[in-house]
Amino acid sequence: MQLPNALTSAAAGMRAQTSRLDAIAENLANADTPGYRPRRALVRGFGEQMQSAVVTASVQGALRHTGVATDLALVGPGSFAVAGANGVEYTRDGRMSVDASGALCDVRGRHVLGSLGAIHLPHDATIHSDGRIFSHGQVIDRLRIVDFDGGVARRAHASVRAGYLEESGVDPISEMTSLVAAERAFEADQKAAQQTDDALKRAVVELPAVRS
Amino acid sequence: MNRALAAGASGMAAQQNVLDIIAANLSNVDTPGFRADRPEFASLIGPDGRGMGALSQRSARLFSQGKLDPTSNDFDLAIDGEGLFEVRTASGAVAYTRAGNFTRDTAGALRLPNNAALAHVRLPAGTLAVTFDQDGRIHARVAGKPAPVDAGRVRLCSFANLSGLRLEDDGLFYASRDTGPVLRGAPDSGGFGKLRQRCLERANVNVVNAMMSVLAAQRAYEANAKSVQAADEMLRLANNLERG
Repeated sequence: MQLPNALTSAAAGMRAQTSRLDAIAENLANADTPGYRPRRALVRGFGEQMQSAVVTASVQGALRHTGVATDLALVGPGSFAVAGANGVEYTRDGRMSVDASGALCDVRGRHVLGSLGAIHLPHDATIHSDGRIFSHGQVIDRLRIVDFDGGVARRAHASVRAGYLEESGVDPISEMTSLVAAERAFEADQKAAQQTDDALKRAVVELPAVRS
Repeated sequence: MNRALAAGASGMAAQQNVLDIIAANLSNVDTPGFRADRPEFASLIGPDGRGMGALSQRSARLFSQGKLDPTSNDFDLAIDGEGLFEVRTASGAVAYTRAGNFTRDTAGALRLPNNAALAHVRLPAGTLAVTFDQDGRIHARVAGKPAPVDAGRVRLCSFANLSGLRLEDDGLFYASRDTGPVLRGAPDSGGFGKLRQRCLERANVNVVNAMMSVLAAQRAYEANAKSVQAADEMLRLANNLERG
Protein backbone atom coordinates (compact mmCIF):
# COMPACT_ATOMS: atom_id res chain seq x y z
CA MET A 1 0.00 0.00 0.00
CA GLN A 2 1.35 3.42 -0.98
CA LEU A 3 -0.56 5.65 1.42
CA PRO A 4 1.46 5.18 4.62
CA ASN A 5 4.51 6.31 2.63
CA ALA A 6 2.83 9.69 2.19
CA LEU A 7 2.25 9.79 5.94
CA THR A 8 5.89 9.09 6.79
CA SER A 9 6.99 11.68 4.23
CA ALA A 10 4.77 14.28 5.82
CA ALA A 11 6.06 13.37 9.28
CA ALA A 12 9.68 13.61 8.06
CA GLY A 13 8.88 17.01 6.56
CA MET A 14 7.43 18.21 9.86
CA ARG A 15 10.51 16.98 11.72
CA ALA A 16 12.80 18.75 9.24
CA GLN A 17 10.90 22.05 9.60
CA THR A 18 11.08 21.66 13.39
CA SER A 19 14.86 21.43 13.39
CA ARG A 20 14.92 24.37 10.95
CA LEU A 21 12.88 26.43 13.42
CA ASP A 22 15.21 25.34 16.27
CA ALA A 23 18.18 26.72 14.32
CA ILE A 24 16.35 29.97 13.48
CA ALA A 25 15.29 30.55 17.11
CA GLU A 26 18.87 29.86 18.19
CA ASN A 27 20.17 32.40 15.66
CA LEU A 28 17.63 35.08 16.58
CA ALA A 29 18.52 34.66 20.27
CA ASN A 30 22.18 35.21 19.37
CA ALA A 31 21.73 38.14 17.00
CA ASP A 32 23.79 40.27 19.44
CA THR A 33 26.40 37.72 20.51
CA PRO A 34 29.82 38.88 19.20
CA GLY A 35 31.58 36.38 16.94
CA TYR A 36 28.50 34.13 16.76
CA ARG A 37 28.23 32.05 13.60
CA PRO A 38 24.65 31.32 12.48
CA ARG A 39 23.41 27.71 12.39
CA ARG A 40 21.83 26.52 9.17
CA ALA A 41 19.47 23.57 9.00
CA LEU A 42 20.13 21.97 5.64
CA VAL A 43 16.97 20.33 4.38
CA ARG A 44 17.30 18.02 1.43
CA GLY A 45 15.33 15.28 -0.25
CA PHE A 46 16.65 11.81 0.44
CA GLY A 47 14.77 9.49 -1.86
CA GLU A 48 11.21 10.61 -1.21
CA GLN A 49 11.78 11.85 2.31
CA MET A 50 13.21 14.99 3.82
CA GLN A 51 16.33 14.88 5.94
CA SER A 52 17.95 17.68 7.82
CA ALA A 53 21.37 18.40 9.24
CA VAL A 54 22.50 21.48 11.19
CA VAL A 55 25.78 23.09 10.14
CA THR A 56 27.54 26.26 11.23
CA ALA A 57 27.78 28.87 8.48
CA SER A 58 31.09 30.68 8.11
CA VAL A 59 30.07 34.25 7.48
CA GLN A 60 32.08 37.29 8.49
CA GLY A 61 30.22 39.43 10.99
CA ALA A 62 30.33 43.23 10.68
CA LEU A 63 33.04 45.02 12.67
CA ARG A 64 31.91 47.45 15.37
CA HIS A 65 34.28 50.03 16.83
CA THR A 66 34.30 49.89 20.65
CA GLY A 67 37.51 51.73 21.51
CA VAL A 68 38.25 49.11 24.19
CA ALA A 69 41.89 48.10 23.68
CA THR A 70 41.30 44.44 24.62
CA ASP A 71 38.37 43.97 22.21
CA LEU A 72 39.75 41.95 19.30
CA ALA A 73 37.96 41.25 16.03
CA LEU A 74 39.04 38.61 13.52
CA VAL A 75 38.77 39.39 9.82
CA GLY A 76 38.84 36.26 7.71
CA PRO A 77 38.60 32.59 8.65
CA GLY A 78 40.13 31.49 11.95
CA SER A 79 39.56 31.40 15.70
CA PHE A 80 41.41 32.40 18.84
CA ALA A 81 42.87 29.47 20.80
CA VAL A 82 41.95 29.56 24.51
CA ALA A 83 42.76 27.21 27.39
CA GLY A 84 39.56 25.34 28.26
CA ALA A 85 39.03 22.96 31.17
CA ASN A 86 39.64 19.96 28.88
CA GLY A 87 42.37 21.26 26.57
CA VAL A 88 42.50 23.89 23.87
CA GLU A 89 39.20 25.43 22.78
CA TYR A 90 38.48 27.88 19.97
CA THR A 91 36.38 31.04 19.83
CA ARG A 92 35.78 34.03 17.58
CA ASP A 93 34.33 36.04 20.44
CA GLY A 94 36.98 38.75 20.90
CA ARG A 95 35.76 40.37 24.13
CA MET A 96 39.03 39.86 25.99
CA SER A 97 40.07 41.38 29.29
CA VAL A 98 43.12 41.29 31.52
CA ASP A 99 42.76 39.47 34.84
CA ALA A 100 44.39 40.29 38.20
CA SER A 101 47.61 38.48 37.26
CA GLY A 102 47.88 40.36 33.95
CA ALA A 103 46.85 37.37 31.80
CA LEU A 104 44.60 37.95 28.76
CA CYS A 105 41.24 36.16 29.24
CA ASP A 106 38.19 35.72 27.06
CA VAL A 107 34.64 36.56 28.15
CA ARG A 108 34.27 33.15 29.84
CA GLY A 109 37.50 33.66 31.83
CA ARG A 110 39.58 31.19 29.77
CA HIS A 111 43.21 32.20 29.17
CA VAL A 112 43.95 33.31 25.62
CA LEU A 113 46.85 31.34 24.17
CA GLY A 114 49.90 32.73 22.41
CA SER A 115 53.00 31.06 21.07
CA LEU A 116 54.22 30.23 24.60
CA GLY A 117 50.98 29.42 26.43
CA ALA A 118 48.83 32.01 28.20
CA ILE A 119 49.44 35.60 27.06
CA HIS A 120 50.45 38.17 29.65
CA LEU A 121 49.59 41.66 28.51
CA PRO A 122 51.54 44.59 29.98
CA HIS A 123 49.74 47.94 30.35
CA ASP A 124 51.43 49.52 27.34
CA ALA A 125 51.04 46.55 24.98
CA THR A 126 49.66 46.99 21.47
CA ILE A 127 48.32 44.20 19.27
CA HIS A 128 49.16 44.29 15.57
CA SER A 129 46.91 43.08 12.77
CA ASP A 130 49.07 39.95 12.26
CA GLY A 131 48.49 38.97 15.92
CA ARG A 132 51.92 40.00 17.18
CA ILE A 133 51.92 41.75 20.56
CA PHE A 134 54.37 44.62 21.03
CA SER A 135 55.58 46.18 24.26
CA HIS A 136 58.24 48.93 24.27
CA GLY A 137 58.83 48.28 20.55
CA GLN A 138 59.63 44.59 21.16
CA VAL A 139 57.57 41.57 20.09
CA ILE A 140 56.62 39.78 23.30
CA ASP A 141 54.12 37.21 22.03
CA ARG A 142 51.80 36.32 19.20
CA LEU A 143 48.12 35.40 19.36
CA ARG A 144 47.50 31.81 18.34
CA ILE A 145 44.86 32.07 15.60
CA VAL A 146 43.88 28.71 14.20
CA ASP A 147 41.89 27.48 11.25
CA PHE A 148 40.83 23.90 10.57
CA ASP A 149 41.62 22.19 7.32
CA GLY A 150 39.92 18.80 7.23
CA GLY A 151 40.06 18.53 11.02
CA VAL A 152 43.74 19.52 11.20
CA ALA A 153 44.55 22.76 13.03
CA ARG A 154 46.83 25.16 11.16
CA ARG A 155 47.83 28.80 11.49
CA ALA A 156 45.09 30.98 10.05
CA HIS A 157 45.66 34.08 7.96
CA ALA A 158 42.90 36.06 9.67
CA SER A 159 43.92 39.56 10.65
CA VAL A 160 43.26 41.03 14.08
CA ARG A 161 41.65 44.43 14.70
CA ALA A 162 42.15 45.71 18.24
CA GLY A 163 39.45 48.08 19.54
CA TYR A 164 36.81 46.38 17.39
CA LEU A 165 34.34 43.54 17.89
CA GLU A 166 33.03 41.20 15.27
CA GLU A 167 29.27 41.32 15.55
CA SER A 168 27.06 38.28 15.28
CA GLY A 169 26.88 36.85 11.74
CA VAL A 170 23.10 36.54 12.06
CA ASP A 171 21.04 38.47 9.50
CA PRO A 172 17.68 39.06 11.26
CA ILE A 173 15.82 39.71 7.99
CA SER A 174 16.73 36.41 6.36
CA GLU A 175 16.06 34.62 9.68
CA MET A 176 12.57 36.11 9.87
CA THR A 177 11.79 35.10 6.27
CA SER A 178 13.05 31.58 6.95
CA LEU A 179 10.92 31.54 10.10
CA VAL A 180 7.76 32.29 8.12
CA ALA A 181 8.76 29.78 5.43
CA ALA A 182 9.40 27.05 8.01
CA GLU A 183 6.05 27.69 9.66
CA ARG A 184 4.18 27.51 6.33
CA ALA A 185 6.06 24.43 5.16
CA PHE A 186 5.19 22.77 8.45
CA GLU A 187 1.54 23.70 7.88
CA ALA A 188 1.65 22.24 4.37
CA ASP A 189 3.11 18.99 5.71
CA GLN A 190 0.42 18.91 8.36
CA LYS A 191 -2.24 19.32 5.65
CA ALA A 192 -0.66 16.54 3.62
CA ALA A 193 -0.75 14.27 6.66
CA GLN A 194 -4.41 15.12 7.25
CA GLN A 195 -5.34 14.49 3.61
CA THR A 196 -3.57 11.14 3.70
CA ASP A 197 -5.38 10.32 6.90
CA ASP A 198 -8.71 11.22 5.29
CA ALA A 199 -8.00 9.05 2.29
CA LEU A 200 -6.99 6.19 4.56
CA LYS A 201 -10.13 6.64 6.61
CA ARG A 202 -12.25 6.44 3.48
CA ALA A 203 -10.47 3.31 2.35
CA VAL A 204 -10.78 1.61 5.70
CA VAL A 205 -14.21 2.77 6.90
CA GLU A 206 -16.32 3.92 3.93
CA LEU A 207 -15.26 1.45 1.22
CA PRO A 208 -16.34 -1.68 3.17
CA ALA A 209 -19.64 0.09 4.01
CA VAL A 210 -20.43 0.53 0.28
CA ARG A 211 -19.76 -3.14 -0.41
CA SER A 212 -22.06 -4.59 2.23
CA MET B 1 10.46 22.54 19.04
CA ASN B 2 11.00 22.87 22.76
CA ARG B 3 14.49 24.02 21.84
CA ALA B 4 13.03 26.80 19.72
CA LEU B 5 10.77 27.78 22.62
CA ALA B 6 13.67 27.78 25.07
CA ALA B 7 15.99 29.65 22.69
CA GLY B 8 13.32 32.29 22.04
CA ALA B 9 12.64 32.70 25.75
CA SER B 10 16.34 33.01 26.57
CA GLY B 11 16.72 35.61 23.82
CA MET B 12 13.83 37.62 25.25
CA ALA B 13 15.31 37.43 28.76
CA ALA B 14 18.71 38.54 27.42
CA GLN B 15 17.20 41.56 25.64
CA GLN B 16 15.22 42.45 28.77
CA ASN B 17 18.51 42.49 30.68
CA VAL B 18 20.03 44.76 28.01
CA LEU B 19 17.20 47.26 28.54
CA ASP B 20 17.82 47.17 32.32
CA ILE B 21 21.51 47.96 31.80
CA ILE B 22 20.84 50.78 29.30
CA ALA B 23 18.23 52.27 31.64
CA ALA B 24 20.76 52.28 34.49
CA ASN B 25 23.35 53.93 32.21
CA LEU B 26 20.90 56.59 31.02
CA SER B 27 19.74 57.42 34.54
CA ASN B 28 23.36 58.18 35.46
CA VAL B 29 24.11 60.34 32.44
CA ASP B 30 24.66 63.38 34.71
CA THR B 31 26.56 61.59 37.50
CA PRO B 32 30.16 62.88 37.44
CA GLY B 33 32.68 60.08 36.82
CA PHE B 34 29.99 57.41 36.28
CA ARG B 35 31.29 54.43 34.26
CA ALA B 36 28.79 52.82 31.88
CA ASP B 37 28.06 49.10 31.79
CA ARG B 38 28.12 47.23 28.52
CA PRO B 39 25.74 44.26 28.20
CA GLU B 40 27.55 41.05 27.36
CA PHE B 41 25.93 38.26 25.39
CA ALA B 42 27.05 34.69 25.23
CA SER B 43 25.52 31.74 23.45
CA LEU B 44 24.15 29.09 25.78
CA ILE B 45 25.35 25.57 25.08
CA GLY B 46 23.32 22.65 26.41
CA PRO B 47 24.80 19.51 27.99
CA ASP B 48 24.60 17.74 24.60
CA GLY B 49 26.80 20.41 23.01
CA ARG B 50 23.94 21.92 21.02
CA GLY B 51 22.87 25.54 21.23
CA MET B 52 20.22 26.55 23.76
CA GLY B 53 19.82 30.25 22.95
CA ALA B 54 21.58 33.25 24.40
CA LEU B 55 22.51 34.46 27.85
CA SER B 56 23.02 37.96 29.13
CA GLN B 57 23.44 38.21 32.85
CA ARG B 58 26.88 39.71 33.00
CA SER B 59 27.91 43.16 31.99
CA ALA B 60 31.36 44.67 31.63
CA ARG B 61 32.11 48.12 32.98
CA LEU B 62 33.69 50.42 30.43
CA PHE B 63 36.49 52.68 31.65
CA SER B 64 36.60 54.84 28.55
CA GLN B 65 37.03 58.61 28.87
CA GLY B 66 33.97 60.73 29.64
CA LYS B 67 33.47 64.25 28.34
CA LEU B 68 35.29 67.00 30.28
CA ASP B 69 33.12 69.99 31.17
CA PRO B 70 34.72 73.24 32.38
CA THR B 71 33.33 74.61 35.67
CA SER B 72 34.11 77.62 37.85
CA ASN B 73 34.82 75.66 41.03
CA ASP B 74 38.54 75.53 42.02
CA PHE B 75 38.08 72.11 43.59
CA ASP B 76 36.48 70.42 40.59
CA LEU B 77 39.15 68.00 39.36
CA ALA B 78 39.06 65.67 36.35
CA ILE B 79 41.42 63.03 34.98
CA ASP B 80 42.14 63.38 31.28
CA GLY B 81 43.32 59.84 30.49
CA GLU B 82 43.84 56.75 32.63
CA GLY B 83 43.73 56.60 36.41
CA LEU B 84 41.45 56.82 39.43
CA PHE B 85 41.41 59.10 42.47
CA GLU B 86 42.12 57.29 45.73
CA VAL B 87 39.71 58.37 48.48
CA ARG B 88 39.17 57.41 52.11
CA THR B 89 35.55 56.96 53.18
CA ALA B 90 34.09 58.20 56.49
CA SER B 91 34.54 54.67 57.87
CA GLY B 92 38.23 54.72 56.92
CA ALA B 93 38.04 52.31 53.96
CA VAL B 94 40.12 52.94 50.84
CA ALA B 95 38.04 53.42 47.68
CA TYR B 96 38.57 54.67 44.12
CA THR B 97 36.58 56.99 41.89
CA ARG B 98 36.65 59.03 38.69
CA ALA B 99 34.33 61.65 40.20
CA GLY B 100 36.14 64.90 40.98
CA ASN B 101 33.44 67.17 42.39
CA PHE B 102 35.38 67.91 45.60
CA THR B 103 34.71 70.61 48.18
CA ARG B 104 37.10 71.80 50.90
CA ASP B 105 36.15 71.09 54.51
CA THR B 106 37.25 73.14 57.54
CA ALA B 107 40.25 70.88 58.21
CA GLY B 108 41.58 71.41 54.66
CA ALA B 109 40.63 67.98 53.28
CA LEU B 110 38.97 67.66 49.85
CA ARG B 111 35.68 65.77 50.16
CA LEU B 112 33.22 64.31 47.68
CA PRO B 113 29.46 64.84 48.28
CA ASN B 114 29.38 61.35 49.89
CA ASN B 115 31.98 62.57 52.44
CA ALA B 116 34.90 60.49 51.15
CA ALA B 117 38.16 62.49 51.28
CA LEU B 118 40.91 62.59 48.66
CA ALA B 119 43.79 60.54 50.10
CA HIS B 120 47.13 62.15 51.03
CA VAL B 121 45.92 65.71 50.36
CA ARG B 122 45.48 68.34 53.09
CA LEU B 123 45.54 72.03 52.32
CA PRO B 124 47.48 74.22 54.76
CA ALA B 125 45.50 76.34 57.23
CA GLY B 126 44.59 79.78 55.92
CA THR B 127 44.60 78.73 52.26
CA LEU B 128 42.98 81.41 50.07
CA ALA B 129 43.36 79.93 46.60
CA VAL B 130 44.71 76.71 45.14
CA THR B 131 46.23 75.76 41.79
CA PHE B 132 46.49 72.14 40.66
CA ASP B 133 49.11 71.48 37.96
CA GLN B 134 48.38 68.85 35.31
CA ASP B 135 51.09 66.65 36.90
CA GLY B 136 49.18 66.78 40.21
CA ARG B 137 51.33 69.30 42.13
CA ILE B 138 49.31 71.57 44.42
CA HIS B 139 50.23 75.23 44.98
CA ALA B 140 48.35 77.05 47.75
CA ARG B 141 48.21 80.80 48.31
CA VAL B 142 48.18 81.18 52.06
CA ALA B 143 47.17 84.32 53.95
CA GLY B 144 50.22 86.28 55.08
CA LYS B 145 52.70 84.61 52.69
CA PRO B 146 53.68 86.39 49.47
CA ALA B 147 54.66 83.30 47.39
CA PRO B 148 52.47 80.19 46.75
CA VAL B 149 53.21 77.29 49.10
CA ASP B 150 53.89 73.74 47.89
CA ALA B 151 50.94 71.76 49.31
CA GLY B 152 51.71 68.22 48.18
CA ARG B 153 50.60 66.30 45.14
CA VAL B 154 47.52 64.46 43.91
CA ARG B 155 48.32 60.83 43.10
CA LEU B 156 46.42 58.49 40.84
CA CYS B 157 45.84 54.74 40.99
CA SER B 158 45.16 51.98 38.51
CA PHE B 159 44.80 48.20 38.39
CA ALA B 160 45.73 45.42 35.97
CA ASN B 161 42.05 44.49 35.72
CA LEU B 162 39.82 47.56 36.11
CA SER B 163 36.65 45.56 35.39
CA GLY B 164 37.34 43.64 38.62
CA LEU B 165 36.56 46.78 40.67
CA ARG B 166 33.45 46.41 42.83
CA LEU B 167 30.93 49.27 42.70
CA GLU B 168 29.21 49.88 46.04
CA ASP B 169 26.05 51.81 46.97
CA ASP B 170 28.08 54.96 47.72
CA GLY B 171 29.10 55.17 44.04
CA LEU B 172 32.75 54.37 44.82
CA PHE B 173 34.88 51.54 43.47
CA TYR B 174 36.57 49.08 45.81
CA ALA B 175 39.51 46.80 45.02
CA SER B 176 38.78 43.07 45.01
CA ARG B 177 40.57 39.77 44.51
CA ASP B 178 40.12 40.17 40.74
CA THR B 179 41.68 43.59 40.30
CA GLY B 180 45.29 42.69 41.10
CA PRO B 181 47.55 44.93 43.19
CA VAL B 182 47.04 48.70 43.11
CA LEU B 183 49.43 50.65 40.85
CA ARG B 184 50.16 54.19 42.05
CA GLY B 185 51.68 57.08 40.15
CA ALA B 186 51.63 60.79 39.51
CA PRO B 187 49.35 62.31 36.86
CA ASP B 188 50.90 62.89 33.41
CA SER B 189 53.52 60.13 33.88
CA GLY B 190 53.76 56.36 33.55
CA GLY B 191 50.58 56.02 31.48
CA PHE B 192 48.43 58.09 33.87
CA GLY B 193 46.28 60.88 32.50
CA LYS B 194 46.64 64.62 33.12
CA LEU B 195 44.93 66.31 36.06
CA ARG B 196 42.55 69.11 35.02
CA GLN B 197 41.45 71.75 37.49
CA ARG B 198 38.05 73.50 37.18
CA CYS B 199 36.84 70.60 35.06
CA LEU B 200 34.39 67.76 35.72
CA GLU B 201 34.34 64.47 33.89
CA ARG B 202 30.81 63.52 32.88
CA ALA B 203 29.55 59.93 32.68
CA ASN B 204 30.98 58.00 29.72
CA VAL B 205 27.44 57.32 28.49
CA ASN B 206 26.71 58.22 24.89
CA VAL B 207 23.01 59.12 24.93
CA VAL B 208 22.49 58.74 21.17
CA ASN B 209 24.12 55.29 21.12
CA ALA B 210 22.13 54.29 24.22
CA MET B 211 18.84 55.31 22.56
CA MET B 212 19.77 53.36 19.45
CA SER B 213 20.53 50.32 21.60
CA VAL B 214 17.08 50.66 23.21
CA LEU B 215 15.44 50.51 19.77
CA ALA B 216 17.60 47.58 18.69
CA ALA B 217 16.89 45.68 21.93
CA GLN B 218 13.17 46.24 21.46
CA ARG B 219 13.25 44.85 17.91
CA ALA B 220 15.44 41.92 18.93
CA TYR B 221 12.96 41.16 21.71
CA GLU B 222 10.17 41.13 19.10
CA ALA B 223 12.13 38.81 16.81
CA ASN B 224 12.61 36.34 19.67
CA ALA B 225 8.93 36.60 20.55
CA LYS B 226 8.18 35.66 16.92
CA SER B 227 10.19 32.45 17.18
CA VAL B 228 8.26 31.58 20.35
CA GLN B 229 5.02 32.26 18.44
CA ALA B 230 6.13 30.15 15.47
CA ALA B 231 7.04 27.23 17.75
CA ASP B 232 3.67 27.58 19.46
CA GLU B 233 1.83 27.66 16.11
CA MET B 234 3.66 24.55 14.91
CA LEU B 235 2.83 22.73 18.15
CA ARG B 236 -0.83 23.71 17.66
CA LEU B 237 -0.79 22.33 14.10
CA ALA B 238 0.75 19.10 15.35
CA ASN B 239 -1.96 18.83 17.99
CA ASN B 240 -4.61 19.30 15.29
CA LEU B 241 -3.31 16.42 13.17
CA GLU B 242 -5.97 14.16 14.59
CA ARG B 243 -9.37 15.70 13.99
CA GLY B 244 -11.71 13.00 15.22
